[in-house]
Amino acid sequence: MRLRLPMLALSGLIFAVNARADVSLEYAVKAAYIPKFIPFITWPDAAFAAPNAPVTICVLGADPFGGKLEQTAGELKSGDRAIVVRYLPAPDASVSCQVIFMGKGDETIAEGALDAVKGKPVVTVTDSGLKAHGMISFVVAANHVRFDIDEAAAAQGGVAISSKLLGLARAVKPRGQP
Amino acid sequence: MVSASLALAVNLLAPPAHAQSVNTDIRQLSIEELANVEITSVSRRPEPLADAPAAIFVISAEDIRRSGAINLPEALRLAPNLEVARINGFSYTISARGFNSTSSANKLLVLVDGRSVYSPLASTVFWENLDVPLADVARIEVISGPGGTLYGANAVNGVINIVTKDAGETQGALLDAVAGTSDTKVMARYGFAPWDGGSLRLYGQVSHANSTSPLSTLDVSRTAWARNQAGFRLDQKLDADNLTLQGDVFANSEPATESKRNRGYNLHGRWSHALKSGSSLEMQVYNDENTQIVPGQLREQLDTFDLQVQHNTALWWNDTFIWGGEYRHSKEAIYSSTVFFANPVTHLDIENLFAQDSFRLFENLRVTTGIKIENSSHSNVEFMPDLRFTWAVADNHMVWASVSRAVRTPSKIDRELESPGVLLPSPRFHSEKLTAYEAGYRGQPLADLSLSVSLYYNLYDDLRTTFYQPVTIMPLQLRNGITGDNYGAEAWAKYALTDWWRLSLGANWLQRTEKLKPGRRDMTFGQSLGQDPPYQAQLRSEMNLLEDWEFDAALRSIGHVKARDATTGNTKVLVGAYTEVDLRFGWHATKTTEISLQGFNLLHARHLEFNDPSGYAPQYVPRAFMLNLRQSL
Repeated sequence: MRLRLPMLALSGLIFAVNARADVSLEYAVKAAYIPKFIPFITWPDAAFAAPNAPVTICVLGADPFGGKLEQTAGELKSGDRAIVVRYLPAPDASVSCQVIFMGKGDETIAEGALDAVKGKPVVTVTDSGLKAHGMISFVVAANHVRFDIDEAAAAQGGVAISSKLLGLARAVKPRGQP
Repeated sequence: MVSASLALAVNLLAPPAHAQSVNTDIRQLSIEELANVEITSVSRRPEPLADAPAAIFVISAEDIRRSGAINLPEALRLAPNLEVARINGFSYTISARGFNSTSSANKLLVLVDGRSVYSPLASTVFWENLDVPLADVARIEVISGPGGTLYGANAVNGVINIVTKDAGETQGALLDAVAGTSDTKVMARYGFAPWDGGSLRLYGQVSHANSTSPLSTLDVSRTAWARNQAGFRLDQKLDADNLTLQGDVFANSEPATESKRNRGYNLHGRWSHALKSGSSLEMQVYNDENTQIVPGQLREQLDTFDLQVQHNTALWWNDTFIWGGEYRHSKEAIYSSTVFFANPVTHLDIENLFAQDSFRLFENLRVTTGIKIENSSHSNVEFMPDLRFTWAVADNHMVWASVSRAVRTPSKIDRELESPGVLLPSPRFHSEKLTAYEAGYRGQPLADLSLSVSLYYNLYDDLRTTFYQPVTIMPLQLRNGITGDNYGAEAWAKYALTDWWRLSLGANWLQRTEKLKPGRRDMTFGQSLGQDPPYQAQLRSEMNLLEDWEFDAALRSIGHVKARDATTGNTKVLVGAYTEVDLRFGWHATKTTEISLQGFNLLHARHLEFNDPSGYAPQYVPRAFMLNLRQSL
């Protein structure tokens, strides 16, 4: 609907004090985005261990969000599924992740992880500034955090991304394109 | 400072309102809203507004829409740290922390996207010609207190930054039409993407405000105002660069009598470039021309060229350093049959350099310090230093304090206006000066309550007097002769009672003491210092009823204005205290159609807001009703 941005949110934005100013606004915005993508994404049932298993967001490598991701995730649900965050120092096949976030740390780790989950129902999210691009890649353009979607890669992994989210992306690489 | 939002990136004044790293609230934004959050305001170290060591109030686009404001001055009533008084059909006077009148509201700097609309010719802002389409305003940042270090001269008592939306945010067609008992307005805008990475909007706006009714039966002046304005904004995004080109052209007049005709245009380009190192470079250039004509009496013309450059970087680890400079040239011309200038045409050159650094002294204590050095051909070199502290007391509680100096530089009128036998020119008139001490608290005492309190103590020197001769009275001469010792407080709070009902409360209180310096005289003591109510208070309520209805109410209460009579020396009440109520019903009929019915100043058929015997004849502000349609396509 129309922009019913609660004035509360805005006033809070203006006035609230963030004593832990170490996490930049950029990552606060990214941390808010990631869990909000989830309701727009449909995984095959096989992607979850159980019908009520949570959607797990795995943060690979260092945590650039300073714990902020958990806060947003904790407030949201995807259908009946809770959203949880796991931190993985390195790719770990034993952990069931539905979303993997790859930060700016090491390009080779990101590429390796992208390769490892290629074709699997895992939504890969890459940070801005990385050469490697996941199904969703953050882009910082003109002082705004936006994201591109690689729908082809998602389709390859059996993940469906709703047209609403595609519409919000800056650029979409559609299915059927190499 | 290059652009408004740019300068804000720095310290004194925070980045865009929605650019705050306040995660609780970022979390509540939708994906669409997240995409609009400006994350780095060039300095690449965005600062929470919460951390800005200044009294800053931000009026959001949503605030403006819900207020139903028909024009910019009415929208500025939302800021509890401003005094807004309507004079007549077309004219307003606006100030912060005192000195509000047509001739003395010369200490408030106003910028539109970084372009100054403060007239150095008259030392004032001609609000009647500032017709920014409100639907295109992203936010208005209102800073009370000095901003000289970043903004330069004349940012003495405050700065108003009007920031318009990026053209990318105003795509598609919009019709904003108002029909009312005292105003009509039609604004149409169309935004599109002409090529990759570029977005453009074009708009036109036509409005009419009725003449207001006079206080005195002798006053036969007509003060209706017909405005015609059109403009555009083009934004081009590249990898590391943002380019903006915008411009407006207007022609306004008193329609019945043509007793006042104004016209003008501006063209304004901005460029920002992000450097690899994380620092950034900004540049802006504009040309602004406007002409005011009172047929048979006066023709005033101001033609300004301005160039600014700013570099945002770091000197060492974890600080924010900005520095830059500005060159401005104004051609000022006044041709008048009633007053006289030895040189009707003069040229004003301004050059300035500034630098400011912000660094963390201790874990919770940040220091911001800087200076601007400005040379103007109308005055001497002026120094505007600034020192500010921000102390994060605890989560959600911040205390700040500052000391700063600002100046109001002389205008052509101050120095050169003369009238044989009546007024002598004043070639030695120099800057009015302020040393300001400020402190404040900002925070969230409760989860749903945000609060800001600011205190200030202002020491003025060399304020303008109208000197008279000991025996003959005439000729008069403008001189620097008054010191001031003013203090006051401003506070505002926002409280969300429920997710559909929100309250905002704001108030300010001002205590003024001005004294003539020994040996000086003032013909109009008191009047030349403005008309300020000792207090102002406002309460706003915004309710979202059902899914599609909004019900908003605003109550404001303004104290009386007293002034000392120039001849008798007695004080008298010039404007009585008043309380008024505005109401608004808004209905989102469809996703693209919004209809609202608004009532303004409902408690009285009319009330007086301003009465300065030396200015416009006082006229009443009427009760008004308006119907507003906003249709987007």
